[in-house]
Amino acid sequence: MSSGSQAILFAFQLMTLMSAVLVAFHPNILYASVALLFTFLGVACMFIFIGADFLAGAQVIVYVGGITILILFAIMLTQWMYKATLRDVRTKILLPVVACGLLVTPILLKTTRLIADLGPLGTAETMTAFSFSPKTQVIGQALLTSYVLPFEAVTILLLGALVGAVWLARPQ
Amino acid sequence: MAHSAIWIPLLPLFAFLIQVLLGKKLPRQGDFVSVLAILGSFIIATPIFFTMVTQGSVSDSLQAVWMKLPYLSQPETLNFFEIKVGIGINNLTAIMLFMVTLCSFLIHLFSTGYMHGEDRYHLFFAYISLFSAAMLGLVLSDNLLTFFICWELMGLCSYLLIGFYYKKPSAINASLKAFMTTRVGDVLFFLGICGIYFLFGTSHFDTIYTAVQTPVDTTILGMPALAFIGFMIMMGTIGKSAQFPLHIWLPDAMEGPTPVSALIHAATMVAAGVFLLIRMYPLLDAAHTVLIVVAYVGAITAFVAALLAVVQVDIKKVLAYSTISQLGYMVLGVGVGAFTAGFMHLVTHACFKACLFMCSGSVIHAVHTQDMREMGGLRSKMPLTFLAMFVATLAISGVPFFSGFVSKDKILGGTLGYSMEHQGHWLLPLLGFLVAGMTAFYMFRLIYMTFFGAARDEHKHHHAHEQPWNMSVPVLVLAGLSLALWYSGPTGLESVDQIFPVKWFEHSVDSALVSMGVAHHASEEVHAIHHHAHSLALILSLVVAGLGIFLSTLTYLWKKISAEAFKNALSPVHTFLMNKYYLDDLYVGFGIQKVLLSFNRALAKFDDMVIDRIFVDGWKDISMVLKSVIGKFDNVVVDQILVDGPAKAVSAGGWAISRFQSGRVQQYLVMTMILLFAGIFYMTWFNI
Amino acid sequence: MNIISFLTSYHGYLTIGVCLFILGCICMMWRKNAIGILLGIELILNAAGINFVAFSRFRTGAIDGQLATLFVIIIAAAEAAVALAIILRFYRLKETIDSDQANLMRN
Repeated sequence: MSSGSQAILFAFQLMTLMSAVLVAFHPNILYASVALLFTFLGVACMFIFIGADFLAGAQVIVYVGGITILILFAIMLTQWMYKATLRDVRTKILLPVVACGLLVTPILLKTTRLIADLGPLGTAETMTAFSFSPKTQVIGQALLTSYVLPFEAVTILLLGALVGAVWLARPQ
Repeated sequence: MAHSAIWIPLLPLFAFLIQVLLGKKLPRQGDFVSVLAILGSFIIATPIFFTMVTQGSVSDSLQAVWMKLPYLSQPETLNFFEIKVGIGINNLTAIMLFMVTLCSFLIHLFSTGYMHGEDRYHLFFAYISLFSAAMLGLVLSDNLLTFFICWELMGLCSYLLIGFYYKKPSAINASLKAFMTTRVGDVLFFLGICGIYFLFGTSHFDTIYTAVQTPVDTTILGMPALAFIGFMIMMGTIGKSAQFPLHIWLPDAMEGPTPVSALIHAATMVAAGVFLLIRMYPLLDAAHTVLIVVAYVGAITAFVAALLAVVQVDIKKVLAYSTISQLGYMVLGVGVGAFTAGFMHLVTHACFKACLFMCSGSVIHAVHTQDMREMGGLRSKMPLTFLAMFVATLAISGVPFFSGFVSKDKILGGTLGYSMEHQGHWLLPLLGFLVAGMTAFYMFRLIYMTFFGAARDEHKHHHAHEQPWNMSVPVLVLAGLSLALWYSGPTGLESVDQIFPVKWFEHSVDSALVSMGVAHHASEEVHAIHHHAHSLALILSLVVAGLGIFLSTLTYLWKKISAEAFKNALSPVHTFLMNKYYLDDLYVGFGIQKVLLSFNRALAKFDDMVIDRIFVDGWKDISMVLKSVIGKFDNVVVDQILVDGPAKAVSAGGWAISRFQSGRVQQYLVMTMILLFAGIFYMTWFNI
Repeated sequence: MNIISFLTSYHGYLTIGVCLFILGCICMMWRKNAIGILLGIELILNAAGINFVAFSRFRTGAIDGQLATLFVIIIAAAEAAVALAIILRFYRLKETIDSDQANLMRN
């Protein structure tokens, strides 16, 4: 990868990370939701740089355009906006940090140890050539041939989720 | 012989038990049980007595071990201290048995008439049966322990019988007074017994007799041991036989019924004290200073009591003081060494004094008064009683041919001989002869005031009558025994002379003395002195007795000398005598009220202040402290730590754990994550 | 290696995935608001997606990782819809969406 692309990618990764931090720690829930939006955008950008162009589009459409809007709607419906100025924080952060520390420590340690241990990854050229071709056709073919079962299952799941959500949120 | 003799005290004892338990329900309230029992004792005693008379001496014994107490003499050497009891028969015992059973039987018979119609009639016979059993047991004992037990038992019976009319407060007081006064003597007597056990290890009479032959060196409380024991024994006699300092109980004991006075206070119980002296004579003889003290005590008692008897107006009181006086004579006799004389006087006195008491009982029963000033001229109304009483009076006054003369003369001779032998003791015969004269005087005064002259109270005189046979026969029998012929000298009656050898009494008693190891072999001069003394005493006693009778007749029969004038002239003396020398007031007012009561109060205060406060309250304080300590311990340690602790721990643990179940989903989520990540950590860290 | 080249390499993508996952966990465990929990869930799902795609590009070269990520996205959408419906329901019950008030399962 050229250094210019690296720099842009790094910038987007940084944006992702900082937005994620805001999502986790900002007292105002509305701000957190908007930060989540930017996280999604950052992830979509990372998808592009990794060669998953269809995925990036799907990410933007579904996550940014759907879920974030849903979240904002929910926030407003539950009148949290009027209380949105209230601080949504807890004082005790010890337990979550301990838990995550437990998770992170071996992973990080293993990761740093494995830095030197880079196994054969496939040749750089084929990877690169493969990576930056458009994927839409490939994904569409895979969905209807080898992944047809998960595809159909997901449709049923979506139907069920739709019906369920409508029923759960029905007016009394 | 001993095997049959054991029944002599047992028969009255069984009669007592039957009377006490069943007496009320038997016909005639069971008096025949007692009378037959004592008659049985008499029947058993008679052959023993006659064996002694004909054969000159009798001896038998029966022993058993009562207690065997182990003790360690040296370490690890186990010895046994044996307390042996038993009965023994010797000459003295034989004579006493005969006399006691005969007197007791006659008095039992008399009581059936005298106590007729009393309520608690059966109890009266129970008590005198018990008393007879105790007296006979005492006579038969061959050791001081059972002797003392019977001695105390007689004291108990005396208490019960003096207080027989318990509804009269004077009777209750009299019985208590008798018991307490004799108690003083008894305690000291028991100390003497302890001393004997200490010295000799046994209280068996025969062992003591042989043991005192060798001189004993030990001392008790600074006194030579034998002298100490001797004085203690003398105190026993002083208490029981009503000698001078402790004589106060006997006149008051007349509150009891007359048969009681006859049996206990004339014939038997008071004689027990003298009998003790006689039994312990070898020990008293070996302790050189005791006998002379005994003699003086006896002489003083005789004089003091005789003086009091002269002024009494109650017929029984006269006889009571007369008893004290005669007991003084017996003690005096033993003290000067006229052992045989003292013992003989005991026996003869028993007979005539019992007779006198019973006759006075008849008179009282007939006339319903005890005051001689209300009697008079009863001779025509009660001839048999008069005859018996007159014979007995002659005996006690020391008139020849009567038994009292023989014994009294011997005593007086003994005192005279003693004073001649040992210079400086002239008071003893002086008092002796003086008392002899006074005895004759007041006894005849009694006779004249009661039976002679005009009737002072017509009403009583009119109602007087002779007594039924069961009251007159005993007195006549006893009067008959008061004749001298039984005791000494050829009587001229063939049959009697065959049975009773000449001077059988003296010879038996002398041989008893020998067997006790006492016989002094006196030198020729001493023998001569005594012989001289006896002749002198014979004349003097006749003179003195005659003088007394003459003076009495002059005053009370012929009324030539006015007794009233005498009394008025000597009225301070009279008052002094009427108040019994203020001795009672001394004992009670000073002795008891001041000394004993204050001592009592001091002891009570000590007990309260010291013992109660320190030991009892102290324990209370200690236990209060203990209670608080233990209470705190129990409260804090046991309750709070051990009991509440686990409970609180469980509760806290439960509360702590329940905080996990808050119902809040996010918390459950946190916990799940922690566990999950811990698992992942575990798996990745150790390269699983 | 500096941080830029590290982060833009294979391990960098994985690291970013881990960071997003951690932050998502913390957000999920820490926020009082029920919708805050939902934000955390979304972050976690995204992190998983990045991991899948990274594995697909740098390890196997096949398309399976991307398809997996696609399905994750679909399911995340369905699940977000349902979650928000639940939150709305909860809001009707308790008049608040404070997750501390969701304690009907208490004790």
